[in-house]
Order: sequence, then structure tokens, then C-alpha cells
Amino acid sequence: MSEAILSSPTVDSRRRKALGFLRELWHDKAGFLGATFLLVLVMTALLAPLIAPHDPSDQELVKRLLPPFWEERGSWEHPLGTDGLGRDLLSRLIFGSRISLLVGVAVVVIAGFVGVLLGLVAGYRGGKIDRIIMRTVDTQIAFPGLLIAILLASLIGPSVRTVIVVLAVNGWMIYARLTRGVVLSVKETAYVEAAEVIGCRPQRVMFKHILPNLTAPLSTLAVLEFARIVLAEAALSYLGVGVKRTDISWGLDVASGQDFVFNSWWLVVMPGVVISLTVLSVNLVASWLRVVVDPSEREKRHALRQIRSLR
Amino acid sequence: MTGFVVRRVAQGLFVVFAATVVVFLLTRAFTDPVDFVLPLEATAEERAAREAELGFDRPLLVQFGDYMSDLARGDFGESLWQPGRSTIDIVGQTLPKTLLLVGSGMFLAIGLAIPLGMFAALRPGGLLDRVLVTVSLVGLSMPQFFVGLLLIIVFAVNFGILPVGGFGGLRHLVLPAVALALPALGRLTMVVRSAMIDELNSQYVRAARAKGMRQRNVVAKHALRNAGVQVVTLSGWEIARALAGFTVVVEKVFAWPGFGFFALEAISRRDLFLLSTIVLVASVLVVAVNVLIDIVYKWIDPRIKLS
Repeated sequence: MSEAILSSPTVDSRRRKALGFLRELWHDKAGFLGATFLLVLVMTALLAPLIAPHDPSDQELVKRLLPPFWEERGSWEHPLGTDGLGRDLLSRLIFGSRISLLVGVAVVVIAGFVGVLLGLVAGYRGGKIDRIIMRTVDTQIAFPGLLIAILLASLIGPSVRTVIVVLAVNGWMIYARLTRGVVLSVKETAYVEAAEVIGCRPQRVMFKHILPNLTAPLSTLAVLEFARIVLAEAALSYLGVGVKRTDISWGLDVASGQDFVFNSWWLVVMPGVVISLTVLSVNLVASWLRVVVDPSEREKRHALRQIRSLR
Repeated sequence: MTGFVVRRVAQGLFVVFAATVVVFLLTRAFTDPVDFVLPLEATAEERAAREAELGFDRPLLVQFGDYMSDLARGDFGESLWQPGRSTIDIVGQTLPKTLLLVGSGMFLAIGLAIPLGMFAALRPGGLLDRVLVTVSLVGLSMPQFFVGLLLIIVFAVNFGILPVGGFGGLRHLVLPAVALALPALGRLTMVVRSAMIDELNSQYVRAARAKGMRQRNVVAKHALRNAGVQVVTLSGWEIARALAGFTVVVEKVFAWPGFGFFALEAISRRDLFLLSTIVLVASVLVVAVNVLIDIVYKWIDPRIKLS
């Protein structure tokens, strides 16, 4: 018995764990739908050149403002119609997923890395460093975030890199705050003190003993932040300070579709719906994840299942 | 209490100071302001001339000293887009319109969120609750500009009963205010709901029920009051967030001439000074709202300490 516990996880137990995870996802129908949509979206972004029926930047002015196929003038050649420059809307939506996902992942990784690192240092070291870091966090949180982002983005000039930089600069604080809170509560526990007493170096204590406690809250936060970033990228691009005019982004498509809102509603509605579905899916996955990764929630659910099986 | 207010206001002033420093550094040190002011095709001579004219060629510390002393005297600089007008003058003209929009939007959101969240909490898992939770989740997953454009498509294009945008009478205010309110309404309803569910499950509510108090009094006098502490904070947060950026998006959708719309206008007219002034004024507003929430929070719940 004790041997089984002490031995490192085998491939078999790992596979069982992954299967259990998938089964739990299947039980949460909303979370499952969200995860499926995101999976399809990732595949679409990766395989965009293979799937898209047309080149998303190809202009055919003769065929501009064609409606979707179910409308009278619509055709299967352009299933979702064409925009004001005669570009195929479906292909643009397919290629647009790339920027949304890229910006979302990049910002979450960069802001998360910086925020977690600073939060760890602030919480573990305490004292002067802690005060400086947390004062910066508090001050920056009190700034008008989107307006500063607009100012910074318009100064650097529009590009995908600008959007990533601006949103990462604006988003690291929340990770630092969360990390510091967890570190402060874990620091006093017996096992951290034990690790310090036997002479572990600070880095080892921080990364080996304290960091694992952050997996649950951080994973949920990262997913929620991803949703927020997708919305923010769309907003910046819609306002014209995000990606370049020639890039293919959902927010940009909504902005250019607004000029035709009186006759060609689909130019605004289609990209808007795709953004909303993406963010909704991420939110659904986040609420499933929150229940699954939180040990106390897991205990509750385990107990409930035991009671049910006894009856 | 007085000590608390003084300390909190001092903290707020520090944030405003930090914001002015950040705006200065962003516009002068981290990026080349001439890039922003002049079009790409400008020649080197034109750039040098403009740089000297606007004083960007002086040492950074000298520029910073001038910038701060100008601000201290209330001089926010002259607009590049409308020469001869001071930027604060333009902001002063647009600010009331933004405040009107944010004020009515947030009034709608907060005024509706409290009853909706309360009724949802009375029967968690009931029909009303499930509908509200679903609608809120969908609502807060939609980009703010998409909410606004959907309202335009339905009410301005299809039914033609409300104007597409612009500034005018009450009819012009309805759609932008609703567009600003809806996502906030979704978030606030969820907050009121969960706060009320927590309170309704607490011991003192059970005690009140056990002694035979009427449901209406239990909800209104006990639970709602205690849930109110959380609701006040998050309502204030929503107001700050609206001022800090959501209003820019809504103003662009509806061409509402508030400071957000003018911030975008300043970008396309390459008016660096107007844009910085707008960001500074917005910072002051956001900080003021934050300070006010904390004071109100402390006032309604004396247990809270400043931290």
C-alpha cells in the first residue's frame, strides 16, 4: 500500500487520471460544449489556409456586399457573403481566429509569467520589495486601463505586437495580487517551515513547495483572463488602434462592417457572433475548471457521489 | 473616520500624480512624440522643425519640469488639431456628455440589477434564476461594441424608432445608455444574486424567520442591507470601468461626442496634447470614484480597515 503511494505516477495511472478528467468534462454539458467549440476553433486557426474557401484578402469589387447563401442574392460560392471590398466573409472569419487566439495566449503567458514571478517574490520576501511591488500593483489597478492602452497603442502604432505588449502591460497586476495572497497564506504552513529548517534555498521553497499551491486558482484565473483579453483585442481593433488595417481580425471586420449596417447586417453580426461564442466558450470552460481543480470542491463532489451510491 | 478620509484622499492624489508621470513618460520618453504628431512621409527637416517648435528637443528633465509646473497652473497645453484652443477647454465641453451617458447607463444597470438579482436569489435554481444566469453569462461574453451594434440593427435599422447615433434629445441617449448598461447589468445581477444567496443562508436570517418575521421584511430589512455592502463596491467598480474605457467604445459606436469619442478623434488628427489631457482627466475621475467608493464602503460597514 505505502509502496504504491510512494512510487511515482505510472503511465497507467496518468492515463486513468486523464480519462477521469474527460469523463468529468462530459458530465458538465456546458463545459463540454465550450471545450468542443474551442477545440474546433484551434483546429480552424491552425488549418486556416486549407479550410478557407478563398484568400481572405482577395478583393472582387464586382461581387461586393453579397449576402449569405440563404438570402435571395446569396450563393454557395461565398457562404456568408462578401464585405464592402468583395472579400469572402467566411474566409476572413476563419483567418481572424488566428489573431484572437495568438493575442490571447501570448498575453496570458507574458502577463502571467511576470505577475506570478513578482507576486512570488513580494509574498515570499516581504519587507521593502513587497511594499514597492504591491504599491505599483495598487497604483496601476487604479489607472483607467483601456484609455492608457489606447494612448500607448496609438503611440507605438498599430500591429499585433503592439496589442500584445499593451495588453500584457495592462494585465500582469491581477496575477501578482493573487499569487502574493496564496503565498502569504501558504508561507506559514508547517511543510514550508520544515523545508526552510532543513536548509532549502529560497528558490527551491518558492518553486517546489509554494508554487504548486497556485495551480488551481491560477489556471482558473488564466482562463478567465484569456476571455477578457480576446474581448480587449477585439475592442482595440474595433477602435482602430489595435492591429494593422491590413491584418485580419474580427474586431476590425466589425468596424468596417459598421459602414454598411443599413443594408448588410451580416457584416457586423457574423464576426460579432464569433467573438461572443469564443468568449462564451472560454467562460463555460472556466466555470467547469473552477469546480474541477479546486480540492475542496472536489471533496464536496466526491462526498456527494459516495452518499448517492450508498442509497 | 476623518483620518481614514484624509489618508484615502492622499492615496488617491498619489495615484493621480503617478498617472501624470506615466503619461509624460509614455508620450515623451518611451516613444518618439514626433512620430505621432507628423505623418509617416514627413522629411527629416520637417521633423526637426516640429520637434524644436513643440520643445521635444530639450532635455527630458527640463521638459518634465515644465510639464508639471504647467499642469500645476492648470495649463494643459494647446490643441494641435484646433490651434488656439486649450485642450482642457475641449475636454470641458465633452465631459458633461460623457458623464450624462455613463450616469444614465449606470443608473439603469444598478437600478435593474438589484431587484433582478434579489428575485433570482429568492429561488436559486428556479425558472427566473436559471433564465437570468444564462442571459447574464451570454451578455457578459459579448463585446460592448457588438451589443451596441445589435441595438442599432434592431431599433434603428429594422424598426426605425430610434436614431443611429449622434447627440440630441432623450431619444439619442436611449440606445447608448442601454448599450453601456447591459454588460454591467449582467455582471451586477450575478453579484447581487450570490451576495443575497449567501445572506439568506446565514444564521441571522434563519433566526429572523424562526421568530416569525414576514418574508418581505426578512429580505428587505436584513438580507438586502447586508448584501448591500458588496453591491455598493461592485457598482462603484462598474462606474470606474465605464469611465476608464467602456464609454470610449460605446461613444464610437453611436458617435456620441463625449471625451472617449474625442480621444479617438485626437488620435486620427494627431493631437498628442488633447489625447494626454483626456487620459489625465479620466484618471482623475476614476481615482475620485474609487476613493468615494472606499469612503462609502467604510461608512456603511465600520468593520472595514484601510489596507
